[in-house]
This record gives sequence, structure tokens and C-alpha cells, in this order.
Amino acid sequence: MDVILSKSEKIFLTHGIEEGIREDGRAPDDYRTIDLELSVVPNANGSSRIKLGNSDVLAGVKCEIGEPDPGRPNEGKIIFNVDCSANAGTEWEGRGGDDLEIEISEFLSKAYSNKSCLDLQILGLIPGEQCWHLYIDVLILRNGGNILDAVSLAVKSALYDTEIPKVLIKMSEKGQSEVELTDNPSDYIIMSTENCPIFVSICKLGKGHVVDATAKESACTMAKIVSAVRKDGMITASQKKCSGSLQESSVLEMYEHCRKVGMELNKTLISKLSEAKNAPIVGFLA
Amino acid sequence: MAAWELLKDQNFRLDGRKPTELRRIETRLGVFPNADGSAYLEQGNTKVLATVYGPHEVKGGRGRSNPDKAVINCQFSKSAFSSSERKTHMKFGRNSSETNQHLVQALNAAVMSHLYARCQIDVYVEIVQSDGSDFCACLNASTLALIDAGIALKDIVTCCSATIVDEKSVVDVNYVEESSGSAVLIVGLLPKDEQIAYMQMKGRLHADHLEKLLDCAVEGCRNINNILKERIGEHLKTHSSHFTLTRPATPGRAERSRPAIA
Repeated sequence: MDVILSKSEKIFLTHGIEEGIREDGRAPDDYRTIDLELSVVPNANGSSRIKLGNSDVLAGVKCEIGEPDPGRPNEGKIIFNVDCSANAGTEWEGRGGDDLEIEISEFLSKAYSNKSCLDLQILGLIPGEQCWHLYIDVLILRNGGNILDAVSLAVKSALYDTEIPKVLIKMSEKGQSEVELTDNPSDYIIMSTENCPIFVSICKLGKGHVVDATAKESACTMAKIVSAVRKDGMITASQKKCSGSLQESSVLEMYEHCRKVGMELNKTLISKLSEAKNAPIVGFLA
Repeated sequence: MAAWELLKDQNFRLDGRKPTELRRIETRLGVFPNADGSAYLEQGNTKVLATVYGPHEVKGGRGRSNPDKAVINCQFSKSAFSSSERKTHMKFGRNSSETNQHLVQALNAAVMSHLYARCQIDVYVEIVQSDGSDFCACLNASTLALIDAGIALKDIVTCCSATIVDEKSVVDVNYVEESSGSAVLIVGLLPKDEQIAYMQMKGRLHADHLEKLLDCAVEGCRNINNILKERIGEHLKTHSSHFTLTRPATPGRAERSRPAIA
């Protein structure tokens, strides 16, 4: 949701941030409260719902058997798709959210294209013929600022929750290999999501910079750097956004900040995921 | 695929319901505080989110505005992971624009649109999970969202589906029953006046069965209406502290008319 602020409101917010004070009392590198829930969509192989402050994101992972890329016959594929629900506001009605949808899904693909993020070999079935396609669908239900970070948290959590059915590979009478699903639903494999990156967006307001900007803070952001950070601090993708320009020194400073916050957030998320796996599912009823 | 035995010997359906039994309905009003009204509805495993924005100025040029009544605008969408087989739902596909039109038609019958002349009311519906009777759940959720938005309605329009299994009518069909190929009737009812605001049927049906099927769907609508009314009452009790039955004490006339003593 775009917030319209007057000049003086913007100055008020910016001056506060330059002195390390934010409108909601957070420190510059504090995130808002994150609500995490797993397995909210039973029809998906894995799903999660993340509420980051006022932002609300639902992610679902579905596995389907398909053909691998000719260049990578032993690997599976992951396909990202982002959908901005009109529920979030009238501006996303019809084709209103298309640009944002493409922007986010492309950035997700870039961030996950690094081989170290996910072991795609696990998804391979019959080399060159069949493999798992993981469709990761993200539904943005409410945009309350910093939607990118919320999406990445939801994707990582949904992948953690994903149970890929185990398959048996048999040889048919004609000498061709065939894929057969096991009858036991509790027979599944889980991918290691330890190295999946999460996005950290750092917004530059005046001379200061903050993470997890609210909708109001985003409205007075001059420039923004989004990085996909792994738990060991490696950055797998990065992008400068917004119209303002940055000096080299502040870019480096912001990168360092991204890494520090990203490592911390990764650690917290990983520790909370196992807790969330055993928590009762409430969904939208609470 | 071998056909499912939809109705077992003891008159139980696949999911353990009796033929006239509805699925469990769970609701929540006011899910999104940024919207003017919103609701979440679960009908068994069909789960729907609905939000209402408006009444506001008509968007997209004045030509669309109506000097006599409100313009109702609906957008229905279905998340890619909602059904058992993944499908990227086309926002502008034929199916969804058909559903949009049907929602508009059903809601137009219920909203007192003459009160909102030159205005637009947006209703957005998102299916989070689908297990049959999607349209019914959408319409029921939209009604709740409109109520949450405080928009004047003639009546709580409720929707219910019915189908015929082994010559017996069966209410609130789930996905398996819906895809079995027999005729499915969907009815949207304004229960106070017993007016049918919306009706759709797909599949082949013997004319003798129509009355039975219609009765079954209408009865389902009435039952859903009762459930929804109860839920709305509960919501108001817990969330609206300013709706009190006793009038606030006002100063008596004598007291008010007394002149101020200089």
C-alpha cells in the first residue's frame, strides 16, 4: 500500500532516523514482530504463513514430476511464482500487481540460482528424463512495508515444511525406467534448507539507514539495497532499488549491515522453524 | 478411475456426513484491518478470504458511475496451491470473469445499492484452499465482508450447493461429489423473503428431480444463514463495546434549561 506523506512528515521521520529513533520505537536494525506458521495449506506439499508487522504473506510449495533442463539432466527444478492478491488493496486489482509480482519472483530465482542454496540433485529422478519440479507460489495478502523480506522468510519456511514423496524407480519390460510413487504417505524426503538465503532490505533515509522499513518509512526512502544473505553471511544476490543514488562508502556500509542482520535473522529463523513445525495450526481463524 | 461410492449403505457420504448435513463452517470477521471490511470463511476444507473496499468514488472514469445506485465490482482469484493439482489461475481467464459476474449479480440483489449512488464497492475474494462448492463459499464470505464493512444489505444472502446421488439429494457438495459428473445446483438465497438471488446448474438432471434438488439447496441456504447470523452476533458481542443496549444517561431537561448563574 502506498502511503502519501507530506514534506514535513518525511522530514520528521528522516531526522528521527538520523538520530537512531524510529516512529515505532525500534532500533535501526530491529525487525518488527514476525509471526510464523507452517503447514497452513494442506493441499500443498509444504506451506507457511509469515506476518511481518502489517505484511501478510502465504507461501505454498507443490511438487510435480516433469522433465529436467537438458543442460542439467540430474537436477530438479524450482519455479517461483508470486501473486499479489487484490485483498491487499484496490491498487492491486486486475493487472495492478503484475510489475511487483515479476520483480519479486525474478529476484527470488536469482537468489536461489546459486548451487549452494538448495541441493537440486535430490530432486532428480531419472537422469535426462524425469525430475521433481518444485512450484513455489507466494501469495501476498497484505502489504505493510518490507514485503520482500517477508516473502523470502515465507519461502524459506515453506521449503523447510516441504515433504517430497519418495519414489521408486523401476525398470519396465521394455527396458525403460519408470517412476512409481510409494503408497505410504509418511514416506517422504525433506530438503536441507539451512543454506537458503533470506532477503534483507536496507533503506537509506537521510544519513541513516534502517532495516525492515514500515510503509511510512518506505515512502521517504531515497535508496534501498536488497541482499539475499545466507546463514554464513554469503550474499547470493543483491539489488539496489528506488530512484536515489548512493555513494560507494555508504553502499559498503549498508552491505556490511545487511550481512550482519541477515546472519542474525537466519539463525533466529532456523531455531524457530522446528518449534513451528510442532505447533498447532490456527490459520486465519486467529 | 473407478467411480467412488458416494453414498454408502447406511446413507453416509464419503466424508461421513448425512445427505442433509452441511460441512463445518468457521468464520472470522475483520481479518485485514486495512480494508473497510473483511472476512474469512471455512466450509469444510474450502477456505476463502474476502475483503471489501468502499463505498468510494468510482474508479476508471466517470462514465462507469451510476447516478442511481452503487457500482459493485468483484474480483475472484484462486491461489495456485489451493487445489490438489497445481494450476496457475488466470486472473483474466474466462472462468474467473464468469465468476466475477455471478458474484456481482448475486450481491447486487442483496446490497441496498440505491443508498450509495455514484459510488463503487469493491469485493475481492481469494480462495486459499478449494474442496468443492467454491462459489458458495465465496458468496458467503463476501456477504460477511460486506457486513463487516457496514454496508446496508436487504438480507444476508447465503449460498449453498446440492447434487443428486443415487436418486437422493445431497447438500453442500465437496470436491469428490462435485467432480462425479452428476448435476450440481447452486442457489443463492435471500432467506427473509425466500427470494432466489442466484441460481446455476451444471450437468444433466431429470426434471422430476429438480424440485427435490432445489428444496435441498434452499434448505441448506437457510441453515447456513442461521449459522452466519449466529457468528455475526458473536462477533458483534465481542468486538463492538460501543453497541450497548442501555442508553447513556443524558442530563434531564430541567437541568439543561437552567440558565447559567452569572
